[in-house]
Amino acid sequence: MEEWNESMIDGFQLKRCEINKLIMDYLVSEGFKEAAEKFKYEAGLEASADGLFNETPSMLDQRIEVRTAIEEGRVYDAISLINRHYAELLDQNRHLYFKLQQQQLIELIREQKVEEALKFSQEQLSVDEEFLDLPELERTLALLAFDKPENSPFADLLQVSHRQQLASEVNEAILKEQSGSAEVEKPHLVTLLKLLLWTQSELERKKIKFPKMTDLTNAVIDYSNIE
Amino acid sequence: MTGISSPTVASSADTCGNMSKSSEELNLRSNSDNYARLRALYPFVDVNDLPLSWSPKDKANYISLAENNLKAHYKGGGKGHKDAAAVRANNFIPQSCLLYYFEIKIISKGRDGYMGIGLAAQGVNMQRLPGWDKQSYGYHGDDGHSFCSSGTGQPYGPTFTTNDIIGCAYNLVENNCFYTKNGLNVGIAFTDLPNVPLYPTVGLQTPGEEVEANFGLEPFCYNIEEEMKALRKRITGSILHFPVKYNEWQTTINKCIQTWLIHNGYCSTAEVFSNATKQEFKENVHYMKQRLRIQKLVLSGRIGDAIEYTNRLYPDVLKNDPNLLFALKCRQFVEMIRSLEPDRGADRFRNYDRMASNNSNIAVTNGISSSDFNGNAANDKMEIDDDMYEKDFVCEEEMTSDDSVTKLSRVLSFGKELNALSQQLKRQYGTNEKNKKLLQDAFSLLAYSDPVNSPVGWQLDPNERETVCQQLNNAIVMSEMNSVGCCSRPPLEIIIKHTKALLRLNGQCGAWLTENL
Repeated sequence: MEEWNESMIDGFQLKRCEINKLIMDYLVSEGFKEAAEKFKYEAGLEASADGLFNETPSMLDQRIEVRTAIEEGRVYDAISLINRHYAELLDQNRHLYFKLQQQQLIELIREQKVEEALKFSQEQLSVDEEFLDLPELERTLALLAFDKPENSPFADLLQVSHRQQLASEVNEAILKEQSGSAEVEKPHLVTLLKLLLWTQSELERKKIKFPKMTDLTNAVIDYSNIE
Repeated sequence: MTGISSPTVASSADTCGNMSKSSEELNLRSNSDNYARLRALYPFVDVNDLPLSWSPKDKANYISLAENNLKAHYKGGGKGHKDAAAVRANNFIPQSCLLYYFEIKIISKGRDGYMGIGLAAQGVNMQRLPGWDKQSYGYHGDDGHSFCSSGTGQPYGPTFTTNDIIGCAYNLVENNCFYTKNGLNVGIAFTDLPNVPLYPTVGLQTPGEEVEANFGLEPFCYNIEEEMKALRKRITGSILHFPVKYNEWQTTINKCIQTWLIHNGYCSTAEVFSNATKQEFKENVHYMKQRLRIQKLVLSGRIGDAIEYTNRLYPDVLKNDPNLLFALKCRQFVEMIRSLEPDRGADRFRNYDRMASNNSNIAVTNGISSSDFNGNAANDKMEIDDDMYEKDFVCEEEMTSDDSVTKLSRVLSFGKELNALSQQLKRQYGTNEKNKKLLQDAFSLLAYSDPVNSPVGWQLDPNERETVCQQLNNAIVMSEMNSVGCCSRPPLEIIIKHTKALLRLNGQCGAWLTENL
């Protein structure tokens, strides 16, 4: 149904600068500092990056430092950075603290420091029983049972994306603490993409026919079901 | 329990009188904050599409309306079920209300107080109380029962009588309905409501019964705003927590950003971002920079330069798209008019102008400016061949040095040129409504002594350059990618537009998350 497409594309005036703001918001909130600086200049954005989150450049640097440490597998460093800059953060997010410790354990296993890993899990991870995620801990320790843990069913723990996801969660928690509100949203861009997926699933649930975007990366739309 | 079969038309003179009076008064009210309440409550709905009164045409004969069609009075014999009479509101409840609410005040319970309040689809018999029939739902005052498309009620809430205020809230997202009594929530009465348009409705059955509706023109007894907030929060929550696979998800986001940056020629950003996210970056930076430069010319109002530069670097682009060339020339005309009146009225655009021209200077000089947000010099090693191209072009701003008569005559002769071009396009390709409007709007500026504050003054806003700038960039990208067969619009743009179109299909549910877009 080509008309749907036509009217859809032409029906909405989209200001490029509004999309640019979305991008800027994403770059800053996710801590892509250098990209944000370049972008501000190239896209001619008026708003300074620190205006977005009431964050001074040094606050932004701290946040990025934590993120980088986690992404590079230096979890111990990350925890000390967090405790230095955001003293309350881990006390108020015990589950996040567990996840950081779990990641630390994963890094030890990755480096094949078996004894250290066992010692760490016994001494550190069992302290805070209330927030202990036992299945997750078991999954992690199970890595030790494999000669090649990267080929085990728990290999997902060893992937870079596991670090990145944790880094994102910590980043979000820091933003929340800085803004002082419990309701800091994800970057608008992320919200927007989720809105699309959610709306499509709602329309499917209601059995309303619509052209479905099947691939976001290439913006592929399937018109076959509305013909 | 069958209703009488006479047609449900009301045509008495007093009803008609009421109607014209009421619409007059409603119009009068539209300026007051009565409508503001509705607008705030239902931001995605045109107020005129909302139920605003009872319909004098859509009711049983035994109902008479008064007071702007807000009061309904029973005037029948009231001998039994077959004497029941109901009325629907003038409009059905739009999907994009999300949570719709109205209140009914019981003026008098009449003889027996057999009153029903609820929702009904179009076509439901109006000689029946709400809830008795298919696609009809009601809460009855005499026994407090709820009637869900059935002659038999279910025990639901308290009874209601004279002076009570009963509210009915229809949740169009979660497909349920709850009632309130005197400002207190009675609880969910109906779930799984059908996906058909429903109208507010009341039904009366014994002499003397009289009720008055409040469709939101007056303050409500119940705090429905809180309920709306809570609903939105629930929806927002389920959107934000929509499950995605982290890995693929992150890749998708990064890719969307990268393609956006590349498409718009933000090459340094694209380079840095691609490195940071470990994405492959193999674009031809040189072409991206060229595109960025052309765009900056357009955005700073130097349309003539932009056209020339485009023609030199991409000789086919404007040749193959005469409509785009025409749009650019129209913009050039508008820019000439802008420069005619540099000192009058344009204050609100002044700042932007300075910024835009600063930007263009940054783009065309060797990174002398230091507008980086760290105060670093913007030395992107960007503009190697800029000196050359800047010298080649006569800056349009030179016009400001001419006296105003000369300037005006230049504008007029350019206007003639533009008109000729439009005629030529028309001969070659037939009438094009968009071109026609562009030309009309642009020429209209000449008719006003103070164009900035004229009805067509919006054209003078520098932000308007954005439209044609985007078109030009899209055309260039398309010509570059033609051999590859790539799409001319960045995926992110398509995603956002697609989302907006789907939001419309889904009753604008979640539209508050799209903010300015």
